[in-house]
Amino acid sequence: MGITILVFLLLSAALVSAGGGQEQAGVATVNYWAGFTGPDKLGMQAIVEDFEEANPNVDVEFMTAPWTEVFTKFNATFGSSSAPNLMVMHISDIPQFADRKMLNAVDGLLAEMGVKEGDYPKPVWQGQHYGGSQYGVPLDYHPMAVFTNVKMYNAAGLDANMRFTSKDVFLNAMSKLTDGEQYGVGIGVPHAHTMRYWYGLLYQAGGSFLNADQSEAAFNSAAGEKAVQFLADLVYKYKVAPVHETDIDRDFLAGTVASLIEGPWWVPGAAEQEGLEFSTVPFPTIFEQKGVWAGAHTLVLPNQDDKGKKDGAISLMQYIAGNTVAWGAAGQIPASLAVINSAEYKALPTYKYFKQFIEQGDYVHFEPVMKANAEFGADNELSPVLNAIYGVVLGESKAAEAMEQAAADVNSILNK
Amino acid sequence: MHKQSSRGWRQAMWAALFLLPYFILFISLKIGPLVVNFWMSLQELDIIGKGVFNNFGNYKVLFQDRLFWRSLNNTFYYLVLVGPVNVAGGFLLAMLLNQKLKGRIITRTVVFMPYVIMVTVVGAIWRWLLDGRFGLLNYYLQKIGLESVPWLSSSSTAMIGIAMASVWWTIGYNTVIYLAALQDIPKDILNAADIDGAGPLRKLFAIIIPSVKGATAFVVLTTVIYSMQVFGQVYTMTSGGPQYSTVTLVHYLYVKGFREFNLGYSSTLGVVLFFVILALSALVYATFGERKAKG
Repeated sequence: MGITILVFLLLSAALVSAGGGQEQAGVATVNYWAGFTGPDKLGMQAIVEDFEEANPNVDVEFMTAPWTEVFTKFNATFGSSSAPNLMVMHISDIPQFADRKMLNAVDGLLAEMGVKEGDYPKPVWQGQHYGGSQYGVPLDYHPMAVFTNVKMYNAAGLDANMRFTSKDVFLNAMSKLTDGEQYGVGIGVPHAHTMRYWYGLLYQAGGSFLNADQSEAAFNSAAGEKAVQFLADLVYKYKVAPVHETDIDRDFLAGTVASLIEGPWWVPGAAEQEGLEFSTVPFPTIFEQKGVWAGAHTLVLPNQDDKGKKDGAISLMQYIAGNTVAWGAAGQIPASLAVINSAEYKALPTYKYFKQFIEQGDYVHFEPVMKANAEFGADNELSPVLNAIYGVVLGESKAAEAMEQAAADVNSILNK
Repeated sequence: MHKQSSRGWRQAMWAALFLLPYFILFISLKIGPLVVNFWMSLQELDIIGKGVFNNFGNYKVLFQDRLFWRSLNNTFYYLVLVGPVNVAGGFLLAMLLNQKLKGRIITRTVVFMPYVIMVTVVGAIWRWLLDGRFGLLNYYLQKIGLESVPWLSSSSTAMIGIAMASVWWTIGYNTVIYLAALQDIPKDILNAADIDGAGPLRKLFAIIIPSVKGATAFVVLTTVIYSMQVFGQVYTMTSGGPQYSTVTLVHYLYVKGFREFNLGYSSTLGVVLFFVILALSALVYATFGERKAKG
């Protein structure tokens, strides 16, 4: 008798769980994945909910996880019903997935979605392309800028909204902000941002990361050496940055460094910090030209067979691309010029922090949009360039030798 | 005769039936993946798509890979830092906790407790303790007149910092193993040694250490295996830096497999690690194994 009941219960459970997995008739379920784990996750969640309200025939399963997990899952589920139908990735991620034929080109969908080249900053638009096709619809871009502690700047007789228009202006300010255990700026080791600072400075000094046809490293030049030496000099020569600093965000929040170079995603969290009064100013211009590292998120359409889900994904893609004011409030700079120039976006309470990021839009420099960037880009902790820069900033390597070794390693990767 | 033979078969059949689940799991979860891993190491294999056999090309690349040799070197360095301390320290702690001292029960719990913490929590705690500017360890070093050390942000000290975290985390496990072995030593042997006038050191080297040889073999073997597989502490505390000074073989394997999605090369690293651990295990076994009497 007992066994009969047990078998009956097990069978019932199996039937219920099988039934629960079926989709409602007429409703397409779209799997939408992104690597947002901070305030930006909540911002995107709100956009998705608005879309679902406006489109009752599409149900969105929104999944977020750290980026490396998202990509590992994407690889593992590709071709199955669990795979994402719409994704966000960085433009630097496009090549490795496009090469694996995992992404749909979106050139043929742009007109229908109302997405036009002229509506985006040129570098942002160009970054969506790979191998002659466009794979992404721009979502946002995120350059670096300087967060300034208003109280500390004022105490040093400085304006927290000052512009660092030259090396002398920057160093002069940092010196005034440095006193005992308090420093002007934080340079983290190990911290991937240090390579991002170097990247902007490289282009400011007239250099470039790779040669024109992207077949060889070009950063082992006077410009590359100058850029990394400047970062090391901030620590050891000018002594305006702490030695061996491991946590730049913590040190800024604790008031032991007066300036923090971070991305726009940091704004919402900082705005909620009690007792922290801060401002933002563009990335310092240290050398001859303006230049700053930036990343960019883009909406991509994985290759998929289910037409219903694909249509739902395209609708969602179009909606998100056209409604990014809320995305801006979550801490990223919307890629659309129409959005960032709109009254609605400018009315956001945090706009006063974001506009300094936005004004850099015409001179941002993205990392190379190529598959090999997964090996030498700033996101790979074993990147030869990243580790070479650490060596110089730690005072363990000479700038010229470090750049040469890193270039040799990058060339090995490019020549595989 | 026929009945005995039939009973023998039946017993063998039941034995096989009861052992079958273990062997199914052993083959499918241990041997199978080992074979497949070796198979994958012979191919140029991305995470998507079919692999292409490349005539041991991955192995040729590996032996010229500067970062492979660095990671292997770092892993051995880690073993040298952690191994002796964990083994000898575990033994000494067990000797102490085997005494009839007040508070020994709570102390045993405290010594073992870190072992149940997840490695990510261990990494987070020790990143704070070892912070070069605000860490607790440097605070106390300065209190006694010593200079601060940039533990995790200097190539020369980062692995030492990771080793400290690892010893704190895992020494309790070895202590428990040794404690059990010490408590197994017959009391009358130790009493007899006392009567014969043997001092503490004589008892330690003549009775105690030989008596716990089995436990020592186990502790040394597991310490070697786990040390060669170190990953979590490196990933959470230093990400292999600074300047590759803490990248270990498993960390390198992880980056190749799950960052760069180069499964062929990642599998090659896995095969090499397998043979290195196998060789070290054989060495441990040869050192501690029972020598059969000749003649």
